[in-house]
Amino acid sequence: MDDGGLKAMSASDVVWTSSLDADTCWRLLRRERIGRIAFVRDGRPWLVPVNHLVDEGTIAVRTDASSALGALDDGAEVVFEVDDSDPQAKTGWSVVVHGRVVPIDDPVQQQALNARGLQPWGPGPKDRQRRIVPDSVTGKAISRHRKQSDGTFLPYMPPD
Amino acid sequence: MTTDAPGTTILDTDDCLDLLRAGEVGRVAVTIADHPDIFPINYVVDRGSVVFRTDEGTKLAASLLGRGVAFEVDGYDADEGVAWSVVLKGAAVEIEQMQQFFDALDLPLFPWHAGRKQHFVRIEPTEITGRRFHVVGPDAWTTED
Repeated sequence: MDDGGLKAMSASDVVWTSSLDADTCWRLLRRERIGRIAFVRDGRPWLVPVNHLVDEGTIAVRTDASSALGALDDGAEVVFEVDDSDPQAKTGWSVVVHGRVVPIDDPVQQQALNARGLQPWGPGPKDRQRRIVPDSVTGKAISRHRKQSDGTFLPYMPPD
Repeated sequence: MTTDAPGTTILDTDDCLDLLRAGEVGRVAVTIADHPDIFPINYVVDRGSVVFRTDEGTKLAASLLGRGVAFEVDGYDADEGVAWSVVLKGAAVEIEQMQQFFDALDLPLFPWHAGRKQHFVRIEPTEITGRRFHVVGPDAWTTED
């Protein structure tokens, strides 16, 4: 997965970036419980955290019709992101999905998603289910190895 | 702090800044030719604003300077069943004045990955909002395999 990305070496560390393949991106999208959606409203960027569910190659979310996210036009362009990081090791990864929001109008699909746990985390009606149909899915990781006293490199591990 | 919907606490600016200070990684949303994009960044809080570094020549650097951006951090405490998020909106400005630049160099901020970082960027907030809420039904979560 090393794509020969930025590499740098200091006295103690070697750091590099890698692209994540599609299978890894989807596995991470399924695993994470909170993501963030960015979209443009009145010419300005908005960013909203949401909980989500991966469903048939799309990202399903539930929103309020009255919220900025819920009020987006069908077909609006959005970006969805999940990430995780280790502040001690200073490593991390992110997956970014570019796509468009479409409504989920079919009651059977809605019920199936509810049954699978597409429950809004926050309070409020959150009565509008929508999905993000991806145009692209990309992922990136930052890795770091640290020099040992014998001159070899190992992944950073926190002290015991 | 005030409470609106049951189970949700609206965080005041001081609470939001405390949560921002405790974090290291957030996400910045920008518009590029009217298209949205998101970049995860590591950051510090300095004088009530968010400061981070970018590479010259990157998509992020090109898209944010002098522009409106949104910045977000969030967290989830599984033991308490509590989630929170803070969203900051404002303009991204490059830290150019020498004094400011040297002040910024003293910040405990360095990029996690290895590119050559030339820009210090400050997001001057015009709006900071945050909320904390008890997660509804997290046990019901299932994943598709």
